[in-house]
Amino acid sequence: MEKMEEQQVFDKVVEVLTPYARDKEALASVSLESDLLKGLQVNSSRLVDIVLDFEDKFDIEIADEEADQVTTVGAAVSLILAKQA
Amino acid sequence: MRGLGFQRFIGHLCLLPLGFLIILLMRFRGRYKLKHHRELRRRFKEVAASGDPILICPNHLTLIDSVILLWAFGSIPWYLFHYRGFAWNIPAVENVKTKLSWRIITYISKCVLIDRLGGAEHRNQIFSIIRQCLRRGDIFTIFPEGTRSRSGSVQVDDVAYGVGRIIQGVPGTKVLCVYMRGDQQDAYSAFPKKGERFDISLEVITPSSANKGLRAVRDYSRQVIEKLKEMEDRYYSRIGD
Repeated sequence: MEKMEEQQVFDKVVEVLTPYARDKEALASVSLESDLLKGLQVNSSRLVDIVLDFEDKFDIEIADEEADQVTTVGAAVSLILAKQA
Repeated sequence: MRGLGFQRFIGHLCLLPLGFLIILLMRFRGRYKLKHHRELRRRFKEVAASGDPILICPNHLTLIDSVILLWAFGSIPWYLFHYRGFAWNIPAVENVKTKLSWRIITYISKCVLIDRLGGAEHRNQIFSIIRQCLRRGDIFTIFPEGTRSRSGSVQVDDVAYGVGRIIQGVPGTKVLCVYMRGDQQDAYSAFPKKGERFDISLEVITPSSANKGLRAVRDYSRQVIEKLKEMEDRYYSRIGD
């Protein structure tokens, strides 16, 4: 898969998060610092689904321990970029 | 784990007064009744006697579901000699933190408090405790929906994946799926209505998955919640609603 730029990854990450984010206002002003649980109000039960969606969308594999690090949009983007490097 | 061993010891010592308190609340204050109580206890004893790691996974409608199940599954004398059968439970800390009496009661009734807003490290610590307890033969209750069902029925899409993580860490875990509903329980509530009569059904499954990692976690969790949904459908077809 072709390596994506940070902005492309960010856009795709937001696309994945959109159906899970309960705070649509926070989603409208989403940034790398946005916290998934407290900011976007993602249900913590859905984090596994989100990580698996990242795996499918970016064709990568994310280990359990790495999944725990995905707490902000920026953390997700960094992890995906690192996986694609 | 040493802390849990001490908690288990204190809980066992306090079993008689705690057990009578539970009976007082269930039978006299709540005036609750259980359908097929004797058969239910027989079935639970059978499951508990297997010696396998057992995770009890009930649906969740009231704050005292786990207490009702403790009352339903065994008598005080039975728990006294089979304390393993008195299942550990993981209530949310926000439900008990305000009152010292609640904290004491949860401590002696084998509860490990979880902070639902706690981070991954806290969650992993709790999962690790549960997995260690299961491996050493303790029985644990965890509500796969994570919280009381806001819709009043089992929502397959709302499953919390904690249950899958626990099963993944303890291969061969038997899951005792429990569907419990009071005759007057239309939606979720803090407590069941007075005089409530509970219908409880049990089914044991051993979740499996051909996948690894998080996909396996998702598979395990879904098998449990889908079984609960199936039991709920059977409950409604049985009562003709």
